[in-house]
Amino acid sequence: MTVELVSQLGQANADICGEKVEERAGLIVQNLTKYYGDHLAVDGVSISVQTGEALVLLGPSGCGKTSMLRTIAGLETANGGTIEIEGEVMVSGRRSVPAEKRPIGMVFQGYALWPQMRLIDIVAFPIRARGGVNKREARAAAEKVLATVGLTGFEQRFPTSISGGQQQRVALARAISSRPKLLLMDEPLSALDRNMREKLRIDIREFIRSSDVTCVYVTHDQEEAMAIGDHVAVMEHGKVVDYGRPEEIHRRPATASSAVFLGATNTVCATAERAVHGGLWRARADIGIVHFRPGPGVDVHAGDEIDCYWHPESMAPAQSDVGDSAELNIWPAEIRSCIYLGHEYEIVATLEHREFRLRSPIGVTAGVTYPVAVAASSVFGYPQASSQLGGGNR
Amino acid sequence: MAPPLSTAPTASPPGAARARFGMTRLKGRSRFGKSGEYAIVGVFGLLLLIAPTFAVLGALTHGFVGTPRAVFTWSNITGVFSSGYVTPIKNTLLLGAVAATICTILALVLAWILIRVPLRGQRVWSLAIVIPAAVSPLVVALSWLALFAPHAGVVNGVWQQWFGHDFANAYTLQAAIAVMVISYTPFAYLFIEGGVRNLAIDQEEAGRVHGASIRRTFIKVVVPALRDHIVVTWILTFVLAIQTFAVPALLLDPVGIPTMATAMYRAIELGQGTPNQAAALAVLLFIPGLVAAVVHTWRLRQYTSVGVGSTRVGHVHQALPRWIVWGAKIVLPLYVAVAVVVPIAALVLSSFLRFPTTVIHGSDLSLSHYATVFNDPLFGDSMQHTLLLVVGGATLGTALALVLGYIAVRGASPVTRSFSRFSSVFALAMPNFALAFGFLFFFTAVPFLRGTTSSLVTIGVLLTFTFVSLGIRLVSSGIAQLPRADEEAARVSGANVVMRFRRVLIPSLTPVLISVWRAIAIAMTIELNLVVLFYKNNSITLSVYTYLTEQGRPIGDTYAAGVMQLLFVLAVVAIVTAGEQAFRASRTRTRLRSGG
Repeated sequence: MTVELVSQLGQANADICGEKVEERAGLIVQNLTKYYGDHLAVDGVSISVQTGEALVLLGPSGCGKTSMLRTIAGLETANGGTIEIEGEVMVSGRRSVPAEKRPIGMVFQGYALWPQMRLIDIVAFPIRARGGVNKREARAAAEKVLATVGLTGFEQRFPTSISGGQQQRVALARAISSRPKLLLMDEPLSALDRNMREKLRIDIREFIRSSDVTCVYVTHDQEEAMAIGDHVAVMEHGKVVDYGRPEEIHRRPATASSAVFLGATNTVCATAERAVHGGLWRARADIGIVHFRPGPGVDVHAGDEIDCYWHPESMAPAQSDVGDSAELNIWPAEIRSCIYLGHEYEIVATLEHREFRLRSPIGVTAGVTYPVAVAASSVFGYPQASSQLGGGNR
Repeated sequence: MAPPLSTAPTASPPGAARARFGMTRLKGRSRFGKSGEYAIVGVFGLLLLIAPTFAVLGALTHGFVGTPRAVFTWSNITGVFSSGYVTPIKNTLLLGAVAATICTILALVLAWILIRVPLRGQRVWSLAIVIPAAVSPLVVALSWLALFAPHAGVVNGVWQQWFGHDFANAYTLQAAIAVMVISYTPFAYLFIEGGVRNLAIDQEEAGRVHGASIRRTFIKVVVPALRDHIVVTWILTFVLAIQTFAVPALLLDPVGIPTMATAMYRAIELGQGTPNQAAALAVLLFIPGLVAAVVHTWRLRQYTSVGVGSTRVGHVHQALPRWIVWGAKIVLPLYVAVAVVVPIAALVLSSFLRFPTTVIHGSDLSLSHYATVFNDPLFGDSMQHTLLLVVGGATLGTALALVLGYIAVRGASPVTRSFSRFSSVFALAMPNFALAFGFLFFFTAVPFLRGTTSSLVTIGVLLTFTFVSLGIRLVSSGIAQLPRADEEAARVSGANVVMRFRRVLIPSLTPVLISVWRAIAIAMTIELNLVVLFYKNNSITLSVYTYLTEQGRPIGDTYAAGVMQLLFVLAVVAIVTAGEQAFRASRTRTRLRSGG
């Protein structure tokens, strides 16, 4: 593991790799707590990000991810915990280094470009403020930074005279111009259209990899999180509820709420019957027999009430002659609608008055009964008490 | 199986949908109708141009405009730069520039503190800062006399006992500047506060996380971002300061320091100079107002279109250095004490003193000055006239502001919208004292108006016209915040313009309209610059009465009259606020009853 997260879920992992983390961590946050009045926005979160890697904080609105980012930046006062950036203590007890003294760069959600300044002066601002260099040297350095983000020739323009994508690049250029040790990004792509977002998230990913800067990136868009993060931390109610490499948390969400947030919107409630081979379990639900894989660290016992979740893209129309097995769940469903989205079909099917969504490259005729299948290993099971968000179609 | 969806469109006869929902046919697409808007805005524009035009005509004429002996001349214009008017002009510019600079800096700092620093009771502090706006500069000047009159002011009395000399002299240019700073900082605050509030906090936070301290961020980010607001605030405050008649008349004239306002007054009332030279001075006073209106209309509109995606407006900084928070906790009470509490306390105390004294005993206190004032029939008349002016003028002004504010925001034509916006600022930026001169020339030029110059109705109309701009600004911001769809829903439901005003706009804008009524009422009560040139005994107002008591009567009478003027304003504010609270309570009850 190159990036470690120490949280309720990741404590053991951090203990194992503690020595490595200490040596190479670009950011260590321990037991960070932030209150707004009586509201606990960040609840004792601990994370560690290795130098040169990107951690994405992912979660729904109000989960505490932006509060955490702003506290790391020094724009909010921490109520408890410690923050270290490359070994330098920023927050510890009552001691807190002011935002302007922290070795950071930040890209704001709305970019926060100063409309009265030319692009060259915006990018030169941190160089002058941090570097103590004169105006000419700062501008020369800023020109180079603007060139790295592909804005050569735009130096004398004002932020209002460039496009949204270019504004985003200027915000990034400003954030990196003083060579910060830590780059913070607060939903930097949320103001852009879909095409621009998809283009820029690749650029940002490449930039982070090539510049070797430690990055904490906040988003509520799971695709963006998967595309940018070396590791992703899913937050909910001020806590980290899931952590791992993007493909890990997508394939095996640690909690029910994480599964739902990551798009596993098909849900069914079942009673566990017995374990079958390969770590899979068999359960009985009103739609029939459901085979599932328990979530990471989840102990299942026969008779437990289990919430099962799976992604729409894991479920597809099946050939009717394929038989049911422990590896594959197949149910006959009524196809309610089948909509072509351009590159795939979105199918809504009902089974025992429950609605399920499927994403499939193959379309089926609406109004017919058709078998639908989902691999047992793609169905995650969690004891009902741990299901926080519920949601789905239970 | 789901039933098949029917997708075939069904043709409906024209108007069938409207008929089904009981709607009437829409009458045109304009609000008042374009021609109606042009007519309303045109009349307002003409009224707006009357005073400056006649001031210019007066300045270019020898004798009164419209009279047979009037002849064209440049001598008035050249005269103000070559004769004895140079010193008044210099004094006025110095007074205005220094006062405007201090007011603008103070207002910017106070606005930033109140919006950005996490403090308790921000609404109370905000209210305390604008209190002096409801106190006439004349009363503030009187309170400074009560504090710092040579050998007699309360503070000077105490200082004399301790150190053997006065602490300060109220009859100086510095004292006049201090009084203007107290009087006009609230206006500067109101002008600039919106700019600070609309500046996204992200802009400042971006400065901080990229290495700039709070001080550097303020200088490099906040000040440049608010440059146009600062310029406009400075010019508007400058206009307020240079046109003020009461302060120089009370504090500078007695010691022979002339200003443009006192020189113009002397020219027209005491015959020291010609009215045409006074008109030339009035034209000079108009120039900064015109600049302010142009800058405000074009530059600020350009500024507000610059957002660059930042949306977190009006937020406070959460992680400020402790010295800033403590500094704010000291600055705010200090300002309120110096600008509000101490002067008013001194004025009230002095009004109870039989005679000015440095050592105050219980036996020195009496109600004799109040008895004198109450027994003066002119005081009763002035109260009555002021009440009539306030009730009539504020009501008419609010109605006009509603119509013009509506046109400024929702007008059908871009021309009327722009012109309404410009006119509202232009009227606000016009110095009342100069306006008064323009109107004076207008009334003498139009034969059938000559006899009405000093009537209460004339004064009321002029004051309404002068202060309606305050209302237009408030109403247009109120309308801009209302969803356009509310009104459109009424339109597509068949409501005509009257019905839309009565059923949709006015109920939504009632709190704003109450504020407009209150603002115009206060402004009319404390106004002296215009009324002092128009009044006769049958139209004397409270502010003129207070000013006149200072001429040859015991100063205690003036203090008592000043306190009465203050109480009158307080009573107006209290009654309107009580009405506002009652309205809010009744609205809340209605919502609760309807389960909202």
